[in-house]
Amino acid sequence: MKTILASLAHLERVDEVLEAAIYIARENDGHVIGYYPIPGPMRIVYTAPGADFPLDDHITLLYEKKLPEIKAKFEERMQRSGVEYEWREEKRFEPLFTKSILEHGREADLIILGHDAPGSKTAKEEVGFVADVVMGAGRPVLVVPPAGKSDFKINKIAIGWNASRESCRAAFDSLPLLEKASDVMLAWINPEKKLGKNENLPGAELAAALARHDVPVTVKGIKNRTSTAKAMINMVEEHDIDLLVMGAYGHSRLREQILGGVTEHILKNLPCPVLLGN
Amino acid sequence: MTRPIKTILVSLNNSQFFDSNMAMATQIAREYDSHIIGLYIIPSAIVYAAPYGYGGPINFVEMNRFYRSKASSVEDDFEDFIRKENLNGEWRLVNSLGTFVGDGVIKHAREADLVILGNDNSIQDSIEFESRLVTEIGRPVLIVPNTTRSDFSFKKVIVGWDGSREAARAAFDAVPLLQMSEKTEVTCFNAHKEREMSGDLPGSELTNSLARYNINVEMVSEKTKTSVSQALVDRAETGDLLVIGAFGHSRLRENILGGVTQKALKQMPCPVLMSN
Repeated sequence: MKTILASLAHLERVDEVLEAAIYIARENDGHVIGYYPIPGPMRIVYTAPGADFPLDDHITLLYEKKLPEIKAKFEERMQRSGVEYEWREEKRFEPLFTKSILEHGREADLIILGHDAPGSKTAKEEVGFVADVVMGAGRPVLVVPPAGKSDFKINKIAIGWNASRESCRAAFDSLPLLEKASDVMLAWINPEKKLGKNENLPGAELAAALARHDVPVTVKGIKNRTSTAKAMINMVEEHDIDLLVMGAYGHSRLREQILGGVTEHILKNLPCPVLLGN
Repeated sequence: MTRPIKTILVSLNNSQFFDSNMAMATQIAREYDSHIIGLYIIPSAIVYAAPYGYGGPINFVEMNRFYRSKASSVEDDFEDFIRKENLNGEWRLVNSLGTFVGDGVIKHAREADLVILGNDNSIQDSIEFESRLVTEIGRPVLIVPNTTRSDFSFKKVIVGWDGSREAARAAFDAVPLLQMSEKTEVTCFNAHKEREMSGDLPGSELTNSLARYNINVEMVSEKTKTSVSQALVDRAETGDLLVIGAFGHSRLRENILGGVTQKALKQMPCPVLMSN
């Protein structure tokens, strides 16, 4: 992971995003791009005849006003960390961030997004945006929740694995992080549902493939009667996991991207930083 | 920093491609000291339950018999090859529960860094088989043309770029192979017509990102009056490897490939790395 695109579009999560970016860049000798898109004004269409078409530009003005503050913060933190960096601000035409982050993110190794507090109403609204980025980028996306008590670190990683195309993507996309971790848990929740009862070592082949990259991996099957998403959140809390790697399963309904149930539940209740692959 | 390929999975069901596929795998395995898995799938018999609503079920066992009879000779070839070339190899014979070879390949290939397939570009079925694998595996697939060559190299690599999700996937999945190359060209045709890109210099950030992996990379942006797919395939004839995103959409089960992907598989100017 050489090129890391840290999206600073979430103004309240700038610290957390930068902390994650610096940590990963240090481990991999990488380059951090601080990307600050300034959204365009929203066009409001009134239906009344003869009415004006005013522009709702308060978001644009907010981002323009905040620009010097965020830029100063970014440069100060990056200089202190000693990581190679680049500031990139861009004035966009469209009022949404999706397209701008996709355009820049596709040319980077990793995209880092800030996310709202677990369980909050805004986290729910944010899910659609994260889904658009994950499904459209073709690159791994790290979603960072508000900072907890301890510093950002990636020592213990759990991979949510179910042999699907998406979880396979996520597992191999996270390889540079897995190689540096001290403990990697390959977890499969209720494997017998997909495999039948005859196969007793679910995930063994993937574990072998990861071990060839010198990843310290252990395989774990978890039996759970409640939902898969809840089981994953429990696992993160129980084992004190620093990073959860999982595939984002979804389908596009014309333009909107709809996420699968597990991914959506995890994003609404983000227990720790999550790396999503698709 | 190099990003090595540690596990290579070679699909050996079609013995016609044995030599070229193994030669390609050897080339990569020598560089990265990789583990080569020779995968051979024996599909199960197809059972048609009670045709026309009466009578007993019919077993269609021809496919199963055919692959079963050939398995041991392919295994011998594989073991001989591995011993002679002094590589790390693993023979994996799978009695698949599915009736299609592709299902078995997809299941096992998800646990490898790179998948190698042979391609007989004179047969449309072959292209359909590959299109399904490429879009469903989720790993990069290296498709080797059906040639008698055994001296594959990656001196000059052409990366097709159009700013899409699939192209991004392929370019970054190809990093280990690009690191083996002497020269990499990120090629973009008719950038002004692509909807997914803006700015004056398409792919300039991508070339920067790749250059950080110590890849000798160069951006080529050109206009063409012929179709983009033809221009890209023509360009690939000057190179040793073409890297493109497999753009496909599934129509229920069948995967329909996009124009560039289809053309590249039909003409096969050189080995093609595809990812989705």
